[in-house]
Amino acid sequence: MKQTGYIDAHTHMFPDDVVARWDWYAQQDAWFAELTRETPQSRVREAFSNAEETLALADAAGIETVVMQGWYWRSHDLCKRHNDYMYTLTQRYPGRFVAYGSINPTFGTDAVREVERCYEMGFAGIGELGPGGNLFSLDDPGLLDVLEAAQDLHLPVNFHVGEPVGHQYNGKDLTPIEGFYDLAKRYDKLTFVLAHMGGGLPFYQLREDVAQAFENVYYDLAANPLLYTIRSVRAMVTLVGANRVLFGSDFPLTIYPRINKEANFSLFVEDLVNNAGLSPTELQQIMGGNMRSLLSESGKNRTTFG
Amino acid sequence: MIVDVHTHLLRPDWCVNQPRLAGCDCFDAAALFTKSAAFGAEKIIIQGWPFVDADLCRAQNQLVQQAMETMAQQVGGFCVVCPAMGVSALAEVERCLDAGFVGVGQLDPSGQGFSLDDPWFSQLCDLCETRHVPISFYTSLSVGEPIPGQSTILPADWLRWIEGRHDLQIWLSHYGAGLPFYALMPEVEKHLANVWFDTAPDGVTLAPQAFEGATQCLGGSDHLLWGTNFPCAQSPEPARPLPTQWEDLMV
Repeated sequence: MKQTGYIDAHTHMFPDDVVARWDWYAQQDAWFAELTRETPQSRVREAFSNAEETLALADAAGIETVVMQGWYWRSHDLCKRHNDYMYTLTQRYPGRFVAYGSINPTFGTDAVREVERCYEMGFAGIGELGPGGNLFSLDDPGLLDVLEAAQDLHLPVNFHVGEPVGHQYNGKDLTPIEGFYDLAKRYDKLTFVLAHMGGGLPFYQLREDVAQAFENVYYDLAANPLLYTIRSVRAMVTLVGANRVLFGSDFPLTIYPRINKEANFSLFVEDLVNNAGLSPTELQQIMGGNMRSLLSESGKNRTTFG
Repeated sequence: MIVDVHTHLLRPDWCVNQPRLAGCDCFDAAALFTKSAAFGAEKIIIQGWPFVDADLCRAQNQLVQQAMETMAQQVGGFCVVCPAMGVSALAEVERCLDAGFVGVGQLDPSGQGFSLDDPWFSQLCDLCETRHVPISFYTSLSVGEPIPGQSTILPADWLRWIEGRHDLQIWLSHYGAGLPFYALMPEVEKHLANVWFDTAPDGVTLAPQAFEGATQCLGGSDHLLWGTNFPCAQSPEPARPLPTQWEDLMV
């Protein structure tokens, strides 16, 4: 493996059973079905990959650590089962796989208990929370309880954030982005990771009041090539600073569908290294340094990544 | 040439009980120009204030017209109407453009209470297209603490409307409600060829990297116009020369 120190902050790993019995899970969960269904017309696909395949692909791209985001299952039981699976990977491959917990905040106290269980299992955060997928608003009482628990346990929270404009695609989340300002103000000790470049929120950080409220906010680049031009990364750095941007791919989603149909990390890594206009220092921060610092401050195992 | 494209000329009595106008400190064109010139402006464009009342709109236009006549080298003007005035709004715009106004605005759909789908507004846009003049709008960066008079029109609303107006010169003030960010999406960028954004601050302090960030989002500064929002704001960004495409229009 190339010695790069890269950390992919946003991937999804699915239990083998989900892949083998996709139809059954799709029947249980319409949102899962919508996001992962393959048809002859599918341009983008969730190219499921098992742990060993994933690590081999990560090695090829120079990625040392793969951060698994949970899935926004509508069933609390499926969230728990997904967390159990991710836990086994963190135990089997310590340091290679790190987990954020699947949580559906609409399950109230059960969701809070699952946050606590994720903490005990050594997870590094919770998310990717999906307001659109799990049908909750940003002022939902269940969500607020979950955030309160995450804040107390030093667990960063990754949110799926959709863009309010642009092309339509399966699973596009149109939750108004304005609400994240209130959340960031309310939970000023909680670290937020707003996925998919925060749906445009970096631009609003030009406002002094927003910048102040977003002192604990990071943005990941998950699925960036499907949504934005590569110059967006340079713009992000100017708007919020290189120390607030995290490399994330949304693996195993095929984010270069015109040239690749299989799970892959290398294409995005190479695009960022060669075409994003980042300095060596900025690359070091975005590709791993920022996430390493975050992991060292997160959850029960904080300092492990120091 | 350095042109401050976003200033306002107001009467003191208009500022009473108007939170957005608190702190306004100059009420004649010479003082307004001097204030902007201290930041580098060689010419100023006075934007009309988006009144709802037809008489106030006409009074605003007369005030700006007087300034244009007495300071022809230093002052250009945009005329304001409320589209709900209907046919009389169209007539007022025709009168103003004949008198030498260089654009229409700034209009404020949420403040003036009209929809982007309003038929009279559509006719007003048609008129601007026919006369080849820009039309400017008040917009707000809508994330954060509420700004007095904040616009409720969001980037998705603007974009939906813009997509049907490829031949109109559209000018969104105050960094266009955040729309420049979405020029990073190819399918959005292709619709912004006829859209410009001004840099005027609006009730909140903007980060020093605002212009550079917007430039990178837009892939260049050709669609950014320097404005101060004087006398309604106190901390403008550093002066920038007018993009070449606008010089014939504004100079």
